Amino acid sequence: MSEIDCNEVLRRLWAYLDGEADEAACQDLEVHIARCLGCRHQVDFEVRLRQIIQSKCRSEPAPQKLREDLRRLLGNSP
Amino acid sequence: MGACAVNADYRGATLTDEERDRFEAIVNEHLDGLYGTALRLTRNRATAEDLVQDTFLKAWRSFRTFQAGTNARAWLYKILMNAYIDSYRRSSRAPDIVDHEDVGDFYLYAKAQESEDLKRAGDPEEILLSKIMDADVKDALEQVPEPFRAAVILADLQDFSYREIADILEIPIGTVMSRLYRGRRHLQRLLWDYAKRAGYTNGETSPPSTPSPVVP
Repeated sequence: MSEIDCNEVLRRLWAYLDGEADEAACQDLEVHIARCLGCRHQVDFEVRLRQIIQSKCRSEPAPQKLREDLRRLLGNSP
Repeated sequence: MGACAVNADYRGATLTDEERDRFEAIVNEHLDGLYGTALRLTRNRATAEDLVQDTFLKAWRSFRTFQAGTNARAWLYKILMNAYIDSYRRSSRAPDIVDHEDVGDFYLYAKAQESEDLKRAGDPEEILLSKIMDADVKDALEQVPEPFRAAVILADLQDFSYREIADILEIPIGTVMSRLYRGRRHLQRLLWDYAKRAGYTNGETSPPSTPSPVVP
């Protein structure tokens, strides 16, 4: 484990939030965040921002017509 | 197991009923996700539908080469992305913003912290997030230039890992990370512009909004 500063937290933040940081990197980050209110706020902000982006951009079911067209298409093709 | 109709003898290259059922299950499982992705990529419903049809037709034709038990989802997205890059992106390239903007270190959080207007209005981050809640986030995402947009869609909306995105887009992981970074900076920049246009301040100091119609 090594001490990291706020800039380093920012640099590693997205790999961490994406679940791509290795165990040591996660630990460094979590230790820093536990002690640093500013970074904690930033992490919280990024997490909520991503949730908003997901909730507003994800829910778009395919039109029924496309579903039916596909069924027909696949039924007819070899 | 029940008798399996071995059709290969007389059907030649066609797929068996069992394969057909398996494929139909894959279609049902991934159609919504693929359509949503196609829509954010092409920014047009009709084009998105064409792209998805194209994807499933290509997938159907190469279903034999797809190994059961491997990642069907990543396989389908790879076909979708290839089809998109081969034909659709070319035709819809025009409206893309050229990536000349310096969004290198644009952080919404830092902007909120620095904004005197937001600070005056109360809790800067809360106000900014509530503005973004009201913003047209889909439109902002669709304005993120390619190839950064595709990386953001695959990671943030479809939850693919860096490794999977690298396979889908056939680029190195380092490139995935830099595209994602840049795409997210672009998106934050666009959302900041939305928030600015909507006005920073909360209801108390902004001009009164149009009253909602009174239901008797």
